[in-house]
Amino acid sequence: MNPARNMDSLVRGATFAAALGLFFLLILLPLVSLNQYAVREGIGVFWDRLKNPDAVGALRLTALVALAATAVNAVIGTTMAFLLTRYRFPGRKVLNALVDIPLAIPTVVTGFALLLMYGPLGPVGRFLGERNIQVMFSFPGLLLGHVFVTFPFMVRAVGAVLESVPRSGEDAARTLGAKEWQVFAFVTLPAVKEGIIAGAFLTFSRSLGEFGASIMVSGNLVGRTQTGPLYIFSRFNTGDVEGAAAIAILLALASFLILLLLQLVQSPTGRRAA
Amino acid sequence: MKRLLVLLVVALFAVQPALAETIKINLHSCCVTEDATTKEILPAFKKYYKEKFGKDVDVSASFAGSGTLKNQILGGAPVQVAVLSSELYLDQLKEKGLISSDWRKNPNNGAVIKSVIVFVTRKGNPKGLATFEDLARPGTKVLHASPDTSGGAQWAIFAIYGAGANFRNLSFGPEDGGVKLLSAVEKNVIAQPESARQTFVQFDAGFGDAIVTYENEALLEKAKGRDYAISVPKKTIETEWKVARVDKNIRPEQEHAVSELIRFLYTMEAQRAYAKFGFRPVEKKVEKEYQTKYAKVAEPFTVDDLGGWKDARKNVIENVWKKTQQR
Repeated sequence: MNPARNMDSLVRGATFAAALGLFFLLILLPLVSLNQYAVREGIGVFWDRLKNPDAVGALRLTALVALAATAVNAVIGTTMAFLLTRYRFPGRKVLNALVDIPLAIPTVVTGFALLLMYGPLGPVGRFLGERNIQVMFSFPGLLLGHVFVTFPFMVRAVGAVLESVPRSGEDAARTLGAKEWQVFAFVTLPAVKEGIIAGAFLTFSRSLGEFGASIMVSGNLVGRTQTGPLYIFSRFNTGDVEGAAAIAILLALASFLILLLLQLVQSPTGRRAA
Repeated sequence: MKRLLVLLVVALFAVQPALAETIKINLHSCCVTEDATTKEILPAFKKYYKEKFGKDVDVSASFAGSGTLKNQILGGAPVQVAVLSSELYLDQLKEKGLISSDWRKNPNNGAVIKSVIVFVTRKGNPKGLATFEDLARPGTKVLHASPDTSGGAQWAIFAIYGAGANFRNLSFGPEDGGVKLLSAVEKNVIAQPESARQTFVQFDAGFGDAIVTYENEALLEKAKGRDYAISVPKKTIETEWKVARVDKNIRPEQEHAVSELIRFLYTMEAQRAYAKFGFRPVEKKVEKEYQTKYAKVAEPFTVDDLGGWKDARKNVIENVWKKTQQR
């Protein structure tokens, strides 16, 4: 046997073991301990905590906001991705860099920025206030926060697919006399379907765990504007660690299933593209 | 090279006994006490201890909401002394075996500082809000922190309930004056962020007409240069912070410094420092010195008027307040 080859497989084996081991230690083990806490008092207590009306309300709101944020970003994110990849215009690179800003700034700062803009001190807030429309501390405010925080996911997922789809199909449609909107709706959109699906899954699962911006803009009103993560935080603070862990497990599980589903949906097309 | 390393290691161990002369203790104290504690009380205690007992003491302090601190101690944080805003937290530490002594044996049943619940309004108090009944007026927008995460918010809710209640007849039913007042005020509450500090962030952004909070927190904001007005209602609750030793975490060599630190918090020196930062002192002489700084409350009441912490928490927050949230 070739000694170099032998070495090679050894290195590969070691890397494999190290990566798996570290992943288990750094990522999986903390999640497992959470699970331990959740069922520490028995599965009955776990179930009981999940059935609590405040918990159910918080989970329902979380799902609703995540769905709405995903829908909004599916539209504006896809448009943005289309703009960034299909057109060349001055400032495109700057705009492209700006798209990722929501990932970089602390979410609490995002929340505060929204409060300033939609509050009585901001021009938008004053305009709406005069018409008796209160955006913050209500569902629309929460939605604005989530749309902001999850914005990059859809743009990037759709953008990546758009980059790999040749323009020839679009050009052909144009030569055949299709109008610009028809090209977008009947040629581009079907081609980037996979990207939209991937972006939607990522947006949705990120939205499920959103905390920093939510606590600022939601008003944290129990049973009305308190989302799952905020509920978890308040349960933890009142000393009800079982209650906090129960909801956390559920959210983590939901995220995992969504991301797993994404892998299953994606893999065949990935192979086809390659 | 090797020899040098060995020497270094030996030197390190040789120095060890000299370092051990410094007694190290950890203090967990409710977030609102941070300035008074780090700027004045701890340096003064260090000096006092060195002068009186000839030993160095090093107190590292950590500040967060009382609930968070309590959770950290339950989770194994090596803390020897705790100053918390709710007796219930101390009770929980006792139940879990971390506290075995009786903190009520300290002066004032363990209360080391006091304050009252007031409300902060916009510059010049344009809506003329003076009592908790005023906060119930339709169209008034009120902020207070969430009682699930903030000790101060629990006191705020006790204050509002108590302002409307008849202490000789607390029924907690729909005809109870306290329930009526609390329900009416809660209808006007637009947000309940995590902590008192966060309510001020939202207030700064222009939200709300009034924040219900500790007087010391309100004074602190004013000291920062904000032009808000403070209303001290004529009937409001007196709040207190209690100190306790976390017996399970105290090693024999820390014993002396721990009891001295707790004793020190009641001295005129420490009480003046607290008073300087907006707390109401419990030491009688210092209280007199500062009586002009603090508005007199015409009808003060305490959590005991509401049946003590345990019952008040159960009846006023978990029962009455919870119901006001369901809309």
